[in-house]
Amino acid sequence: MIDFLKWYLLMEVLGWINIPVTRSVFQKLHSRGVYLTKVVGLLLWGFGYWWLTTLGLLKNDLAGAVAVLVFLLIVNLVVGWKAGFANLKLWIKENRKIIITTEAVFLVAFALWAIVRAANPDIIHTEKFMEMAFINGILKSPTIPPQDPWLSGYSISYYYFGYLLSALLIRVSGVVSSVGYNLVSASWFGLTAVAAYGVAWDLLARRNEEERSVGAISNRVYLLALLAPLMILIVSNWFGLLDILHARGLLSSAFWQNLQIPALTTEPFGLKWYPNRGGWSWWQGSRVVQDFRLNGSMIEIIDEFPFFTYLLADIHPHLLGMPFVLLAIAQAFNAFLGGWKGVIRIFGRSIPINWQNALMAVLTLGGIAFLNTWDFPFYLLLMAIAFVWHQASKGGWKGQRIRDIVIFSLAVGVLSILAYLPFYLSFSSQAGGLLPSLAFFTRGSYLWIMFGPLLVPIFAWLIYQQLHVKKLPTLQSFILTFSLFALLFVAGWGLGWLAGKFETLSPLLNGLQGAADNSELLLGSLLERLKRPTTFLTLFFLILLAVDYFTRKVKESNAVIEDQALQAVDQKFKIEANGFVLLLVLLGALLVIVPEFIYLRDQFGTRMNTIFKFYFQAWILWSLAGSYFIARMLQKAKPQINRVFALIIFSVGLLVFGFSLSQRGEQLQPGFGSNWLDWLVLLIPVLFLVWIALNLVRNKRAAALGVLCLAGLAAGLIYPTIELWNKTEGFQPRDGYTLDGKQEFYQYSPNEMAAAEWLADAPKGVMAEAVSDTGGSYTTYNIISTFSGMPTVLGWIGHEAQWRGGYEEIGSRQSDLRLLYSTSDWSQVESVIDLYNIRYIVVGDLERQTYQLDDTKFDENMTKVFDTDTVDIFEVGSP
Amino acid sequence: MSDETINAGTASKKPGSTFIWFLVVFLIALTLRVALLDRMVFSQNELVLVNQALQISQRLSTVTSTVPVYTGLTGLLFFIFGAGDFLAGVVPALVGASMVLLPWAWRNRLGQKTALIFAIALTFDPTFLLFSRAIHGGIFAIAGLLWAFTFLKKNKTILAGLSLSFAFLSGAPFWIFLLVAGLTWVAARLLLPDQVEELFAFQFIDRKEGLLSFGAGFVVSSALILTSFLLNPSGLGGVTSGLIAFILNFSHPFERPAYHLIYLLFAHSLLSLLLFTIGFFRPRSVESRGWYKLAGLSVLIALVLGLIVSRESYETLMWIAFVTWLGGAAWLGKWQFKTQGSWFSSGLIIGFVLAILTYLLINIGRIAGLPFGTPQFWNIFLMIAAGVILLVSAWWLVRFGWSTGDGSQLFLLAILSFIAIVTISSSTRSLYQTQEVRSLEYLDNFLILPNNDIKRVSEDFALTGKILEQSGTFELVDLPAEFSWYFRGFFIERNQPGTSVILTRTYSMPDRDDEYRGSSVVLERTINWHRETLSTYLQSLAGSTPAFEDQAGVLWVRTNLFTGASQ
Repeated sequence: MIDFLKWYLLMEVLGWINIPVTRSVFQKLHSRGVYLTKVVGLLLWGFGYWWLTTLGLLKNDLAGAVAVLVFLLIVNLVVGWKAGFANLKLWIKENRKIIITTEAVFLVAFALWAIVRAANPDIIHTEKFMEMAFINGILKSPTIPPQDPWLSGYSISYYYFGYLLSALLIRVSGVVSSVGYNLVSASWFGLTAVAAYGVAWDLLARRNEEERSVGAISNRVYLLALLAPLMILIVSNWFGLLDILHARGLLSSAFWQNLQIPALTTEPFGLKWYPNRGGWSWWQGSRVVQDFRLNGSMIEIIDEFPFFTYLLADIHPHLLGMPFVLLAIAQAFNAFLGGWKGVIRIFGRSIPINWQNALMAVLTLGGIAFLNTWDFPFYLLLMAIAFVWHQASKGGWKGQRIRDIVIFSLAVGVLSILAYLPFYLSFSSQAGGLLPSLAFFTRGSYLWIMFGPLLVPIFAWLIYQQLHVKKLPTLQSFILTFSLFALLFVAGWGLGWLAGKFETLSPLLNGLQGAADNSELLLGSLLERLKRPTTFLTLFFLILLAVDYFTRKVKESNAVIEDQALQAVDQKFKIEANGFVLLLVLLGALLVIVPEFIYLRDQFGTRMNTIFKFYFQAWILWSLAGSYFIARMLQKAKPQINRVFALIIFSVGLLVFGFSLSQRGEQLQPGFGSNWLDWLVLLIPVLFLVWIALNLVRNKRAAALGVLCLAGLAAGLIYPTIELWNKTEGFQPRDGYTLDGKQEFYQYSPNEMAAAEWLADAPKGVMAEAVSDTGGSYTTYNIISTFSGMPTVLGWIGHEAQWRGGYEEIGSRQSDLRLLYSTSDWSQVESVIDLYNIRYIVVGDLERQTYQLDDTKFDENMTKVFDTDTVDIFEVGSP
Repeated sequence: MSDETINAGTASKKPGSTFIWFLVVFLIALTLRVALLDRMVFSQNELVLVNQALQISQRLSTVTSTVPVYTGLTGLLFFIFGAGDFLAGVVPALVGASMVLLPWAWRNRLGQKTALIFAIALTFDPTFLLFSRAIHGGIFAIAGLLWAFTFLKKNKTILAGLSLSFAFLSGAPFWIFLLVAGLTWVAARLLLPDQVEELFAFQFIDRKEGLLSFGAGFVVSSALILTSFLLNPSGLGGVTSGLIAFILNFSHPFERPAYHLIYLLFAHSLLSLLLFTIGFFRPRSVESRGWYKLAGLSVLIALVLGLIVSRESYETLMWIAFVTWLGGAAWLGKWQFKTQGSWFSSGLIIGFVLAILTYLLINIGRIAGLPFGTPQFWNIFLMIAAGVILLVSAWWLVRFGWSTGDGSQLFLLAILSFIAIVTISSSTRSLYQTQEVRSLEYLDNFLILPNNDIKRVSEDFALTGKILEQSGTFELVDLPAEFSWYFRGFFIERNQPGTSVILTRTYSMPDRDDEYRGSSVVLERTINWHRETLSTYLQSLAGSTPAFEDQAGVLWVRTNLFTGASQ
């Protein structure tokens, strides 16, 4: 509890300190970005600290961290003083409702997820070791770039900015790193929730203003904005819905076989509403999308979504980047509304942007690249388009706007890279170019299962708007959409055809995608796609309808201006919140459509990572858009009816959950209707239908659509409800609630934990510990370096190779370590020690299991500095 | 020569002669602070700072210093002149000596006589002397703050900025003194609003240039000190190390009993307390009554804060000593000693009183070392009682012979002179003889290698015609890194074969291929203050030295170094 409070206090201090700077950046947002103060604070703090330690002007320690924080405070005081503290005070007073609301959202989300983490805190399985190693490595490293804890002598070759921010928070709050790990997860949940809430609130508030020019923001906006964090963070894909149907034995076996989702192809264990697949049942939610080679073999694709990511609790870059991605979206919206208005004069040239926003954009985008490089180009594009679109609203849309987008992207992109240049100088990526995605494409069923809860509101809105204007999409929209697809097709098939010309590449590509030769690959892939056009059609129509909005606006700008209101402000067309949301829809669509044709080449050779990263970002963008659309549709409905239905459905849902839990041990009769619970479950869709019908009868078509979307959301809430219960053991964890991620290790590996704690405080030096013959990834190998932060000769081999794009740096370390432990010739041991400058050698159970260990040589030739029943540490010789 | 010329000539001589007196006092202060500085025994915390300064000079700094002003400046000295025990202590000594010049700067307000007395007091005061010779942020904090205030009053803004940077970079003591000063200022605003407004009226605030130059002075000097004049660029992080250390201080346990602070106050600041108390109850003027009340409140604030904050060291005692000496000097400065009797008879009485007091002191010292209730204890107790009766009787009789006022004055002068002599002798003995006890009283509670055994062994080894430091590497087994200061001359590259010197905590020889010859050393010296009961504190007040607790270790030297045989 104390750790939670310390962390919360630090986050609050960070947030309150940065109010002046945040306000000065988000001039056009209703909220002035008040929900982003913590994220802005983290970004500026991390940026300043990282640069100053990299330059050697600060040490990587507590004093350095606090020094930058104090500097940040001074900067904000100066900004606040220039703006006027009296003004600031007045603004806070006038906006206390949104301030209190956003603080409440953050606190509730943070606390909620802290409880979830406390119920299953263990830093074990998947890649949690890797993240813990990074954090401890950064904490223990005297300098930046930080040492790689799993490859001594090298610095981390990964986008480690998020881990640096985590280490800063851990260091200043004074919590133990294994507790900090879980607090990072929880606080990022809170930051994402409040950022999503705030962006949605700003969108709705802006729309509010567009529709009625004066008046306070209604309470309904405050409530409906909650849909955004709900959809981003809690709502999941429809795997949960399928899971319960499968568990109940509904739908035919052929259906499940045809669907080809591995977890659902086998017969269910007993028939019940509560799925009982056992083990890591929650894992399957992120394994919906499958790729198929032309020869029919299946490739696992990772299709994570935020709730899964948080439930898994690996604090990966895509999780750590989430609040900053939302910061970028907010900045783009601010630009869209004209908040970047200003002029910077450089060498006699005028650049139409104010320096605060230019700086913040550079820092944010560069930070995003440093947090999760994959995201960088998309948010750069979003900002560029948003900025130029606003310019076009003044000057009209011309061909040069495309040029403006390119110039903006180049300029800001280059500056963003320069702002974080030291990172790029020490970073080597595993990415190795582009590959054509010919055989690999997402089936329509997978696309809809994955994005269903989000696609329903998006399509509902787009169709509703199209019906509202009573016009078909313009020809230009059609041409643009078709051109995009054509371009991508040319890119994909062109690359495929080109690869076929190279003798070395062709067999590789053919083999990868299951074709005998290049022509089979090109034609066969095309045929497969034609057989399953749902994804293509879905995305085509989505893009078409979204693009139509913009083409109409361009048409407006070119037409004679009759609108006096526009004439008065010298505007060619209106800037609307709807437009920005549609930009989000389009960007999301781009993220989904591009991997259908090309993907990034990495160590795995498949679309796995590309789909993983792109779909995750698409989820964020489409969630925001979807929540906005649902809110807009529901805004016109009668709140009392909505509340009644929502309450009833929620109650029924809870009852269904409760009873299905109690029936977990039972075997229900096959056939729907044989158990009373079947009817209770059926009541939920029936209630939704009644709700929709009621709205239609009252001529509230928008509201009816909104309710339909809510039904889609409800289906997306099945997975989180069930799997949260499973993962936390029904919120009754057997080891009690604790945020310390090492608790399981204290029980099962106490000596290793004691050794790690000793090493964490020991003078710095390279350590040697066992490395698995198979590489050690996803195991508990390197547990001591992970929890101590002491750099080890070699850690998880597979991961190191991934990060560095090969095995060159790893060299012969694996065999050298085998020699170190196994040989009885001390001179050979000494040569290994000298080669890697080893200071500590760990001899424990893992070493004894892995090697034919002769540990008497260590006793004879080294000093034992740490001793337990099963783990000893020997030191080479102190200076 | 006309009267005007004579008067003008006399007037021009007066400031000059006063300056000479101040200069003499300053030179004495400086001498006291630098004498035997190379023979100081360091405490553990002092060694940490010294080692950090050494690392800075070697450009190997890895840790942010908690007293950046010390490590920054001393690191530069080490870089230029080479590391040594004398240089390790010279910066605090110079800063401490500079405090003696403060009264000179305020002589117009205090009066020449008061200022001179104050300067003499600061020269010999045991608390100031100790902190001037200690490697601790306290002297930087108080000297920096007071000089900053002084320079601001004199409109010397750049120097004020420089002084403030010294204080700011002194670590946790800055925040403690800031707290004390802040609370005192608040109290002053309540008790003496007009006088305080005048005292805190600074010209520089009204001028932009003044503020800018003050800021520039502060920022530039801070940057230079933090980076040790660019030897250690990453030292900039030390800008907040003081605040962090202040906050973290509250998580440390109390090393000594709560009344240790009170003990120190009475043991070493008796004279200033006495003078202040007299001045408080018998102020020389009505205006000064208010100032004495304020000073008293300030002393109380410092005392309470000291009791709360002081975990390892007692720097707040400097504030108490400063304020009480200010009050005491003010009272003494206006004391016009006059008697009706002749100087000879006055001198005799003073001599008599001094003799009795000396007699009493000697016997108190003897009784302090005796167990309570023994026949010897009672013998000496009776002797003390006799001395006290003699003293009281003499005082009563003198009042018959002389007037009450004169008699009291004589006795007071004698008592004050006696305490002054005792204080001065205590101060001078603290330079060497009682330095260890003083350090253990005021600073953290561990002295490292108090017998300077490494140097002794090195000198013994030199008799063989070789230099131990050049013979190879050293090794510390189970000992903190601070000990490496004493091996700074050794070759320190790791993995060199044949460690020539090993220092261990235990008596068992570490497992090595070579043979080593061991000699016993005292690794750490401490006093178990918690075992010392209140009565033992009283004994200490009477002059008895508390018992040391030594932790022994062994210094192993490779045998073949002595024989010259190859490995």
